[in-house]
Amino acid sequence: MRLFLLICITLLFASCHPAVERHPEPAFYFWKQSWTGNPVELQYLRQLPAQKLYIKMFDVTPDAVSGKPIPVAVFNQQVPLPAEQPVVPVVFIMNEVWAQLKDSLAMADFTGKTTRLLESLTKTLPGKSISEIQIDCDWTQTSSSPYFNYLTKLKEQPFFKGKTISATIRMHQVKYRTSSGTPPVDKGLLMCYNMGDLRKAGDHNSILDLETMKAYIGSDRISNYPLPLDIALPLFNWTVLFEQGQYKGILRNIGETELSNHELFIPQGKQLFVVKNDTLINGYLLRKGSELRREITNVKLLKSAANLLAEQKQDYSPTIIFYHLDAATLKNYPLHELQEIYRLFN
Amino acid sequence: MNYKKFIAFSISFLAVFFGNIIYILSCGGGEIDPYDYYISYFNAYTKGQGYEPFYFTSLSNYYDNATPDEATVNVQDWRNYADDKSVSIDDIYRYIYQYDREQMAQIADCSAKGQTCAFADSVRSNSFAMYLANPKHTDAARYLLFAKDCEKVVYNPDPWSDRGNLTPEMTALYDQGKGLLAGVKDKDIAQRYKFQLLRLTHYRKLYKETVEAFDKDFGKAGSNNLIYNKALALKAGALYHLDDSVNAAYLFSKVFAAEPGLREMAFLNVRWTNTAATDIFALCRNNKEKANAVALYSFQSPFVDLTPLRMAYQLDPAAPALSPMLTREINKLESEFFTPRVAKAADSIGLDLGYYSYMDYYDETKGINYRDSALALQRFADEAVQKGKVQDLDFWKVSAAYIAFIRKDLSGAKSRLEKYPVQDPAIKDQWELVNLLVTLNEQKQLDQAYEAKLLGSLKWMETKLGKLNQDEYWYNSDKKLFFNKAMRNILATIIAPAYHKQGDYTKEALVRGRCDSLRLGTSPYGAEDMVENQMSAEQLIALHTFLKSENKTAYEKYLVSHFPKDLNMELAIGIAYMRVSNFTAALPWLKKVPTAAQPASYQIWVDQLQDFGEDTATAKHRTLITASQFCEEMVRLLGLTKKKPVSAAVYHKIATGLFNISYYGKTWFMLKEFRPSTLWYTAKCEKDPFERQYFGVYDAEIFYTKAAQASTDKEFKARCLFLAARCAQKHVPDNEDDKLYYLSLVRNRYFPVLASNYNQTALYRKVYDQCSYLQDYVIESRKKK
Repeated sequence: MRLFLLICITLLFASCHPAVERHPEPAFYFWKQSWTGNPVELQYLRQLPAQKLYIKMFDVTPDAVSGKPIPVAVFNQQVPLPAEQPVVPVVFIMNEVWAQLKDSLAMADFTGKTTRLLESLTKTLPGKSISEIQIDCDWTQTSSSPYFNYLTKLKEQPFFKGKTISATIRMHQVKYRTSSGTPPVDKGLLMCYNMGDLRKAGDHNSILDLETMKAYIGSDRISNYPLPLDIALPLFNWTVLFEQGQYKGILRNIGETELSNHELFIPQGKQLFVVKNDTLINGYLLRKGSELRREITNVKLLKSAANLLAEQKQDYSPTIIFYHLDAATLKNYPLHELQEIYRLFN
Repeated sequence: MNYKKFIAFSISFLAVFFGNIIYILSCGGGEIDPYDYYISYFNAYTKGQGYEPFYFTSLSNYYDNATPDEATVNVQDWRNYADDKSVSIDDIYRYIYQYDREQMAQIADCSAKGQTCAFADSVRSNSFAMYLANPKHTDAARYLLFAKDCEKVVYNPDPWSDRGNLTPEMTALYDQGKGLLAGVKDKDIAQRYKFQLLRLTHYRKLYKETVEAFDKDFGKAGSNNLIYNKALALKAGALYHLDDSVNAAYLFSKVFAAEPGLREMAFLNVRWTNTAATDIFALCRNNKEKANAVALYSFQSPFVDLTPLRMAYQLDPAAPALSPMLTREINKLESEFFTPRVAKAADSIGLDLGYYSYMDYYDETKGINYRDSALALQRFADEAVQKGKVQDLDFWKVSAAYIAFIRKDLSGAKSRLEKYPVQDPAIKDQWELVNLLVTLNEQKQLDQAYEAKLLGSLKWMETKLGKLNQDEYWYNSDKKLFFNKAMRNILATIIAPAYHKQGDYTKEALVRGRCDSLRLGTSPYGAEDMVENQMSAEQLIALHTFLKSENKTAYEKYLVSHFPKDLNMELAIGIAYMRVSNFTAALPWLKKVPTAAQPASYQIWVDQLQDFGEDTATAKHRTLITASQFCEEMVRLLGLTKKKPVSAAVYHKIATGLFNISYYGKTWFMLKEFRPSTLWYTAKCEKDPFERQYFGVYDAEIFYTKAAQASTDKEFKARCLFLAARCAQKHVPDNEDDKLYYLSLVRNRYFPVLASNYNQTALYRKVYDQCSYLQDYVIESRKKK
């Protein structure tokens, strides 16, 4: 009997996983092309305080004429970045690029070019040295092979020696892990936004929606993901325009203020607005009957999302990156709220 | 599905998968040529110069570069400026676009100092460089050096190089340019300096200042030259950044109207403004500007739509954009309405031309809209011709006739052609082409009398052909190859199908040969493919006899002169007989073919318990057996079957030979040049004697069964019955219901006897492990018991 009890007690302890003590680090993305030293952005950066600033250095897109990959929207510092600020350079690669890189020569050329440009651009970045580089690409099952091959080749470049390579992971890539594959990198960054269908008309929030998120992450898809995952949360809002049910685009400078004008817009449902008459507003021509969908991520929603994500803990202290450092939207997110949000991942 | 089946499934899946890839790659990467994906007889280049980027193709953003391009206009402007007959256009081009900064600096310096300088030979021989070196032209030489300096901050030749922040450099250049401008008296040079300064302002994102500077420096200038229009585009871009999208769109539309070389840029920028043509109407000063705006916006749409054309015509019937707009609508109808109809007609006589459209297949019910659209376009073109206000009246006349042709209104097309004689040589060519199409389509039968006329037309077309270099065969715009493609289309989609329909396969093959020699593809097959894979032995003999005959008409001689010379007709005839198992008839033909030219096998007599492996030499099978040797043996074996009793070995060998030259056999290549992995037996195969055996292997099954019956050796009987079972499995018709299909495979008629009478044989034990259908049959039978 004593032996039985001993076994029971041993089993009881064995089945309890010790609570992981985690120390999440806050960070920001900077996705604009020019760093202008905006005071609000500087204040948020210093006071969060952001342990890292993820800066998109350039996009890679197929050239309209030749189809060959070319860099566009290359980052520039109009004023110097804060000294000593650790920076993680990010490269965004459009998925269409991979179709052009069919042979190993083309791939080697592309790897060399991206590395050289990255190396050149990072010379003017502050901080002692670059310890992490992030590659962002919404890869698909078809493109996973060239993309993963590219990531492997990057590691072989001398510039990447001793540096952590991280890759962005979309929600669907977590849910369909078997078909999507896992990128051959040191860690992943789970993008917890843009999870709905932006182009689908209707009264929904394509940026962040808890039910959609639950469906993607399940009960253990984050905790079981084979790479350590950092988490990115959205700090942005936008207005989406639909004409006759067809997606037309994102209107960046039409927000609550404009939409609250009931002379111009009739509110409908949770977040839809119908244009009353043909209107020229902030440079956009809106036609009568068109629909605008205001999609926002407020602090309450962010906290709920953070709680949901924090339920699944990996044995790893994640970096919590807010997307993104933009004075135009930061006013909606008080500093102390952002500090509270990243601590939810403790 | 057990794991063995899963593996088998996976292997076959991979085979299909990779088979597809190979197939696609072998067809040119699966990419569609944006300049050649529908049947066209209407040359966009006939009229519409300057609008080339907007010629119709729905598979590329722009069709071609506009003429004249920016560099041509700029060089001509400099030639006008120099006003010196000794200065050549080519030298100006070289100086502006190819000289490096050092060369330009040396010339500017020499010109400023008024000294005699020692130039390199290449510079001394450049008439424009020498013009600039003259101290009278110091301002121009200095300006071009300044422009060269500006070039490096506004243009990055290597997008992968890190340019850093260029604002300080641009500011310094701006200040320098201001200083240089102050000392310039020549108004043309001053305008160019002002343009450079305006661009440096715009590129530094000083948009308000850009607008102000334009209004100050260019606002009063009535000139409408390249520099003015480039400056106007900068103002338009600045307004866009200042959120005045409608004004921006209007100014871009003005640039679009004025300068062909800037049209593509202006068009792209207008798309960014998210406006419609009618949005900028209020800003337009007259109907001419409105018509231009309608044209610009209409070039965005790849869909058939007469509304913008009608609207632009009402606003300004003489608008230059109307002709390219009309061509676009005609080309769209060719793509969506005419091509699917031609393809459907060819389909009805068993020729799959391989064209497709967004509609997938031509559908009469869906086609109604296009018929209405074509009729509306016809009425519109007729009305425009009648009123006579359009700029290119002759072009519109031929267009009206051609629209009638694509509407299948041959008499309407003919009457318009007769009513509208044309003079302009380019339009006359289009007229002749439409005339040829109409007369060709009127023919119910291609007879000798018409062939004589047709020869004249084909020879006329030959005089219009562009030169196709050896290393090119596609991705060519119609600028160079319109008539090559038109001739290819006439041969492959009209004349060859017509002969096919009248059962004249000799002429069909000859026409395909002429088409092949154009090197633009012959749909659905060329002469070589037709001879080697499509024609029956009788048809081939007729062609062979014809080729050798002396008595040919001029038309026939013309076709024969283009027919491939290196085709081995004897081999083709022999193989064609083999396909229908007529080995006796095949033999004399094959005997004429040198051994090295015949397909040959090592394992044609080795029976196959599985569909794997290649026909290569092995330790056991080292002797090469040619097609003629194989036929000889088959003739001998079949002869033996006529004298009873027949040995089981004879039947077995015949069956094995027949199976091995089938689609599934290792020696499949004896009958076909290519074995796509995606084909299989279908009920359709029953209609064709060759396909029935090639995919259905009925005769092989019969002979294996006879071999089993004739044998007394249990092991051998079991082997023959299993081989017969494999043949029987091959002609199980496909079934969309996977379960039913699987059941038919499991319920093979030979399995019961194999399982009950031969389950103790070594052969049975071996194949039981390999054949999951047999296993499933046994399991199922046990369950029933």
